[in-house]
Amino acid sequence: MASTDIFEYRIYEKESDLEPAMALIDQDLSEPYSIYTYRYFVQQWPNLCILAFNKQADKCIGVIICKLEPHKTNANEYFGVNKTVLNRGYIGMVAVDPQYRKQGVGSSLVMQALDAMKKQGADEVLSERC
Amino acid sequence: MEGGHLNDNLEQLSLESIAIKDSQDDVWQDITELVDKGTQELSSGQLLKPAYFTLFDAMTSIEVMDPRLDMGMLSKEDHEEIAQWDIQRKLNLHEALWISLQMFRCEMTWHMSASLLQTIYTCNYFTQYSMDQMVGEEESDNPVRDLVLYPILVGTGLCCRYVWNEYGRENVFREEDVHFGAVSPHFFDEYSQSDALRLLDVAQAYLEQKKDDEAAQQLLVLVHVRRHWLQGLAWLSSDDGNERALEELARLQQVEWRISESGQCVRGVFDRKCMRRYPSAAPTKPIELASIEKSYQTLVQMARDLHELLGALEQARSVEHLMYIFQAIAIRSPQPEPFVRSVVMSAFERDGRVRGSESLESFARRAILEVAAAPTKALSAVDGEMARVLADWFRTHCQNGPRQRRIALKYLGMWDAMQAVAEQNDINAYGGDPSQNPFWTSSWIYLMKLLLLEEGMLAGVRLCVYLDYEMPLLFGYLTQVLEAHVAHIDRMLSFVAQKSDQQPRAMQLLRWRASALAQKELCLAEWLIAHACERLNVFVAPWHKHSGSQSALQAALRLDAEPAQRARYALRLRAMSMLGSPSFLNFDGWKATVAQLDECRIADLFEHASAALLRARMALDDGRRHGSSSSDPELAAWEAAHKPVYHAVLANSVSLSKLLQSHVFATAATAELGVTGDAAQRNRLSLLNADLNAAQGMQPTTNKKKLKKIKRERQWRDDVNKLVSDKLQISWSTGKHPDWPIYTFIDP
Repeated sequence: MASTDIFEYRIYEKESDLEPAMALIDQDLSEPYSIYTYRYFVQQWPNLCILAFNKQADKCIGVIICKLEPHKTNANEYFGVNKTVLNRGYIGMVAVDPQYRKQGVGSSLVMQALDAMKKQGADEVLSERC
Repeated sequence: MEGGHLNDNLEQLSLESIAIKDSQDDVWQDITELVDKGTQELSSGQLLKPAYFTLFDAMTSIEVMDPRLDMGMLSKEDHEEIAQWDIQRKLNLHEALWISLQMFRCEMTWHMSASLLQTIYTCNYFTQYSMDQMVGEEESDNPVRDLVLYPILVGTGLCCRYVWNEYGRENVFREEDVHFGAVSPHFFDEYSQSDALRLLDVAQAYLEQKKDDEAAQQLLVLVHVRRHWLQGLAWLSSDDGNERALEELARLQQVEWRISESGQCVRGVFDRKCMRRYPSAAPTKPIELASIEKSYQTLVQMARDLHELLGALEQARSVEHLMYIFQAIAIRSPQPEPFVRSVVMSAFERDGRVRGSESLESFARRAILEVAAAPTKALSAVDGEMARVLADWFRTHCQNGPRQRRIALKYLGMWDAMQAVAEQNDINAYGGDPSQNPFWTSSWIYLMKLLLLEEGMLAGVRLCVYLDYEMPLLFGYLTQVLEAHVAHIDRMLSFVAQKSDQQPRAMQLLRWRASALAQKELCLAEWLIAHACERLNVFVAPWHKHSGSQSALQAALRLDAEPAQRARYALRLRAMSMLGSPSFLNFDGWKATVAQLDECRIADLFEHASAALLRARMALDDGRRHGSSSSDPELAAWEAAHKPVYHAVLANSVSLSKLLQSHVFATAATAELGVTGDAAQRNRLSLLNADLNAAQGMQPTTNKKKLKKIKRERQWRDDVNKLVSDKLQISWSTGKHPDWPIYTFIDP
């Protein structure tokens, strides 16, 4: 995972990673998610949950949570007429601590997530708003 | 557990182990101990789930006893608080004051997009459906409750009802501006407006008898405020009541807000966990109610905004004037509350009529006639679709900031499609020779599309969508768009100038031209300054802010490489690339455009920027001069819409003037800043490669020439960084008018 002087990135490893991730996301979302929503993602796609840490403060300051699963589609020009099932990635949640915004943390998280999904064979990636 | 074996305790909890019946004979069992025993053997993070546990299942689940989601969970303190509720409690004036002020806070917090279930509906007096028959009756044995508190609450309820009905027009967006939730609201529906006003009169009469009581005097203030707000809302909801509404809103602003105490707390009145009674409503995040002062400021600001904006709408006669008003609303900071924006949109267009009288089609025709200075015979092809798209153009300006940008960029496609159809119609009417065909209708559509495109791009600056290293691209591209805009208006003017009877209408086109030209010159200045900042290493892409680790350097090289640049360019300008016009400047074209700046030294860039700002000021003055023939309100609307441009031009002019006078660029050391943009980029790439080689442990080159070159490049970079930190501290902000960056150059 790419790192800088200040920030370190790694994938979700254990249950204790969930609490700071949830705290970050709950801060900015309009509706609270239950822990089951988080577990739905991280249990099935742990390597698509990436956390950003401030090395000096030893604090989680950013998180991205995604999934990747097959999705039926109609034949189209781009993917070819024979391809009726696409591997569709989905960026479920992205959050960066307000104190650390505009420093490229969000961009890094998204790019690393996209890289990971591409390596796992994603044909397309969606998010809530484009 | 998938692939595993359930222990005995968990086996008992499995849905497959017992037959589930849904009958009145079901006996509820406490399974707390069973769950506790069963889960002891699970390790941290281990998960039991059914084979098919979907995202929908996850999102509709709650964690029992999680206070954020388990709305039915009440603590001991909650139970104690709820037990205090007593509708028959005999209230005193201080208690009534406290309850009224808390309700006022609830109401204003609701206006700030909170849920009813977290605000208004927390009040038990409000949600108690069966009210005492003695409300408003002097014989009541609970006079403060029935003659003071309930009138204020009924007035509040009716105000909420008017606001709710306005939101029902769907001028603002449900999930972002207004929290509806799955609640059928009840706002004292059994009372009419005249009932509410009568009750407020009763309250006023009661309170005026208690002149020596401070709480009574403050309650009187609340009664007056409530009356004017209620009457203002009532008039706003009627078809032709705007004038009377403005009078009431003016009176509301004149009420002296003499609230010095918050009253005496009454326990049990507000049930913060009332959401448990509405199981179909989704849980929301806990909120803090706005303070009394903030609530009052919100109300007064709403009244002020409504008074100003509705007053401006009343005075607007031309389509041009209306466009300036809505453009000014869009860029206002802070934005008006959702209710205000909704009312303004309703006042503009409701049920297919513009300002209550003109049909949308007729308004669209007038728009083309006025703005494009087209002759009447040119308007054969104005249809309902075009009219609705025009109404949506106005509606876009009344949305919240992020939504404005999203739908502005989304609607571009509709305008583009309309333009293609209109062009064909214009060709059918006037032939295909562009030198002879004025393309009246499609020209107007193109003009409106350009305005939307420019506003969408600038909204990104306002919303901090772009990082600073993207500023050169943003303002560089916007400069090209505005150049196309000015050229388009020049073309339209050339046809109008041919007809002497169109001269008055040409003035309107001249104003639009002055506006576009001023923004184009300002954009050019912003581009040149941003480009200079990039060369000076002030604007640095995030991947260049690294420790020098191998992976960071590799990532930086990859992201600096041309494929990544192309991808970023395509992504940022995706909305523009899909349009038929203006012609999309592809990445290679963009590189060629930027290369034109290559011959400029950094000092030259700042001087050219200063000259561009001067031209922007002249264009703004031209616009005002052309506007002097308009009415005073129209000129005022033009100035309001261009206030951010004025501010940015003047502020950046002053900054640049100080910079150029400071002789920072006159010293010998800064002569090295003559390095061109292309060379600066090569310098950066060269140093990256050298750093990466070092990080990878590769032996440094023994080629003396190369070593000398790298050393010289590093020295140049260090000199530039030192210059910026010691001599020239550059910063930028958006501040009060967030569309345009304001630069500050400080020479210590």
